[in-house]
Amino acid sequence: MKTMKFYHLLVLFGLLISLQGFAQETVEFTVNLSKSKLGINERIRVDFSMNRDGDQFTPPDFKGFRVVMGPSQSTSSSWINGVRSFKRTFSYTIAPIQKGTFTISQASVVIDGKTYKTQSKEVIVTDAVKKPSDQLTAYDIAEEKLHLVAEVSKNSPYLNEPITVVYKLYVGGNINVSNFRPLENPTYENFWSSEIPINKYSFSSGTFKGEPYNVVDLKRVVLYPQLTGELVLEPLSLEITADVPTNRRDFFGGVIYSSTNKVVTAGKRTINVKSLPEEGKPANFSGAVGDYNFFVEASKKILNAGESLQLKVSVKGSGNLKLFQIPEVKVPASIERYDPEFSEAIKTTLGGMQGEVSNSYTLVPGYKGKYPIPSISFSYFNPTTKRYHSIDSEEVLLQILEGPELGQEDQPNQVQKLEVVADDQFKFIELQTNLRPIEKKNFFGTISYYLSWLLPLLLIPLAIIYGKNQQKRRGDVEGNRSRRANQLAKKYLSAAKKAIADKEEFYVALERALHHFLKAKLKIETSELNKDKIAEILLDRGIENDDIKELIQLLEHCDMARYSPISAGEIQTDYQQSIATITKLDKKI
Amino acid sequence: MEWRKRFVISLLFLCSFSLALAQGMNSFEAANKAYNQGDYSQAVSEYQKIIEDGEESFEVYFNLGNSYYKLNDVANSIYNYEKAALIDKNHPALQVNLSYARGMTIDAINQKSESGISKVFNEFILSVELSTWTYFSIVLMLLFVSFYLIFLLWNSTKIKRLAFILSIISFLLSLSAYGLASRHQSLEAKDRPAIIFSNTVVKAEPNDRGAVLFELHIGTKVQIVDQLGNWAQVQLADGQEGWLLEDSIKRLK
Repeated sequence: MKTMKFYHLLVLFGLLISLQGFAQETVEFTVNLSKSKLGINERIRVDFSMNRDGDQFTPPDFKGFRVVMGPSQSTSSSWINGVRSFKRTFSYTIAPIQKGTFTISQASVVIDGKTYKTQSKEVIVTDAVKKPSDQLTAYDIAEEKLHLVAEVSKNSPYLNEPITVVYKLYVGGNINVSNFRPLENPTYENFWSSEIPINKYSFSSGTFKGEPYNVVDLKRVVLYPQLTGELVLEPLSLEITADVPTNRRDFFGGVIYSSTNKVVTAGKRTINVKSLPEEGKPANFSGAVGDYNFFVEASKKILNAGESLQLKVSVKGSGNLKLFQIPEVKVPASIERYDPEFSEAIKTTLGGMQGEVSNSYTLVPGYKGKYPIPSISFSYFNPTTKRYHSIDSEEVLLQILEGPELGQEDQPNQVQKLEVVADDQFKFIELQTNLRPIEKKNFFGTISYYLSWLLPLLLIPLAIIYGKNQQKRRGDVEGNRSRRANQLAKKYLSAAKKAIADKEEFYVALERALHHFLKAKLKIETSELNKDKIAEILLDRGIENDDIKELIQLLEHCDMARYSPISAGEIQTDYQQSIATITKLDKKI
Repeated sequence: MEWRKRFVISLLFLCSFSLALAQGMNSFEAANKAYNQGDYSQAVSEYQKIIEDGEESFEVYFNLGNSYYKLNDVANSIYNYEKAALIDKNHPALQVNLSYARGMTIDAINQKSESGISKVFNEFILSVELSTWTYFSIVLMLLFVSFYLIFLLWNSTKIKRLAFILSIISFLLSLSAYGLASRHQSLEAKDRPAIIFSNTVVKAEPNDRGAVLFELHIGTKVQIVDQLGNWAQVQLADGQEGWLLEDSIKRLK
């Protein structure tokens, strides 16, 4: 009754306003459900609203529901900048009677003599829910509307290829996040990690499972996997303090928030790390993955011995700059090299490490000369091209102008060393030469060498055989005798033999020959001696009497024959006799 | 007519011989000129031409070493200086320039000191050329034989005695000359120097699985001790040994 009275009052008021004859806007009459799907133990609110005052509002029959409350009517109207707006709402709170799909059918109203109808709406009634929405606590809402998500840039990176993990908090439904506190910070075992600090948390809008949410990045990490295989990313847990709006209002109509703590967890993930391909892997590969440039630079190239220079070996680019060895530089042994000084200028962004690492060597050359520092090679794997690359540095040539000579350091005498310096410049080429064929044959060890070395030895057995022959000849007595007799005859009786035809001359020659023989053998002048004396001397030498007698007879015969006639046959006999006697005596003396 | 023909032939022969020599000399002079003008690569190719034609001399190797030094080619420079050292080890200019070239090498190797007596003995043997030892042994053998024949065939006891003593002495000398010659030959055969031409690792075994002992860099001189397949066992001047791939070295002999 009371409401009706109020209703009439409003109608009256409305009439008054319509009398003003204000703008005739299009009529809207709509239905609005608080939700379209509910548990059987829940309630639903149905609002019918119109923007012009109307008559004969007829609600639908709410079949399958019972009306718990209503209809309640609210009217608002306002003038803003001379524009009037009007809204009247009829509200019902209904509860379902049974499960199933029901239709809330049309409601109608008459506005300015015209009948307007709402659309019919479908409502699904399901099983009873645990907590009907009207009993939801702040914690429940926070659980429903707060989500932590870890976004991993790559699930199967190469060893040492950077991946990024971004932890994002999705906040929905007017919840205010006032604070968060990490409960469990992942240690990223088997990864080299670098956290990129976030200076200011700022919300942006995003969607989560199709619903609009506010998103904020809470933590950003760059990871370089250090092991191959399946690596587990530990989860990040945060305790979030959230202010959740309640249905209650304060005195001024503001929403009352209730504060709650909620733990969110995300990012437990398995990363499958691929090992670098073996194919085409350079021998000097030291684990550099990324995209690099490589330089070897000397601070000066022309200097004096004893001065120092800096040799900088640097790697520039992006990749795992902190995680590999810079190749070592090799210098000639006569240059003193000190341990390198390491320096890095690295910026870590979401894309990974970028910048430069370098080793700076201090070199002190000790001697003059030219010293090439050989080129060194740096290899890296580029994960985008999936290939190995090698960069060879340029050779650096150091020229040491002044200084002591290499190879002179052994000389203890410093003064002497200074003296020879002028002489020990690098020597000019030689201008005269005698060319000779390269191929040399060694005579030593060849057969002809052995022949010419050992063949002369054969002469010795030959000589021995010859000597043996001689011996044999000497052993042959008969022949020997005649040979010897012949020899003696030749020696002493050659004159006699020549004169064998002339009797007188023959005997003179024969006598002389006999005396010559005795003279040669006895080493005395026998021609002055008489025959007795000769016999005596011969006897002294141990000659037999017969032989002496024969000789004496021969000598006597010679004397006699000169004066007496003698036949040719006798001469011949005497000749033979003298040969036999001389031979016999020769043997004995 | 006959003698004229013969003369022409022998003249032609002489000419061709001296032509070959002259060609070598021409290259040598051209190379020297190129060197002096600073065209070292031209000098290198001219000197190499002489060697390719089968001729050599200390000066060719020395000058070639100089040219390579000027071109900063460490390995080739040292290789040719060492070739020159095989002909004349004690040349003063060679020693200076070789020490310059050695300054460019990376490896520092200490010389192992050999025991005194054997070193002096070996150096004495190597200081005399092999052919000299060879001819010594032959001449002494001839002396022995002739003295021995004198001993055998002479009648005088005095001469016989003297000849016998002389023959024994010359026989012993001939034997030792032979021994020294063969020692010289074996020392030379054992001396198989080589120069490292590309940086390489020296392994404990002649295969890829062998542990890496140390690293050698271009220009270092090694002695080849043994060989297996394409691996060579080398010894450094300080006595260290190991195996390396044959293609990283170049033999001097």
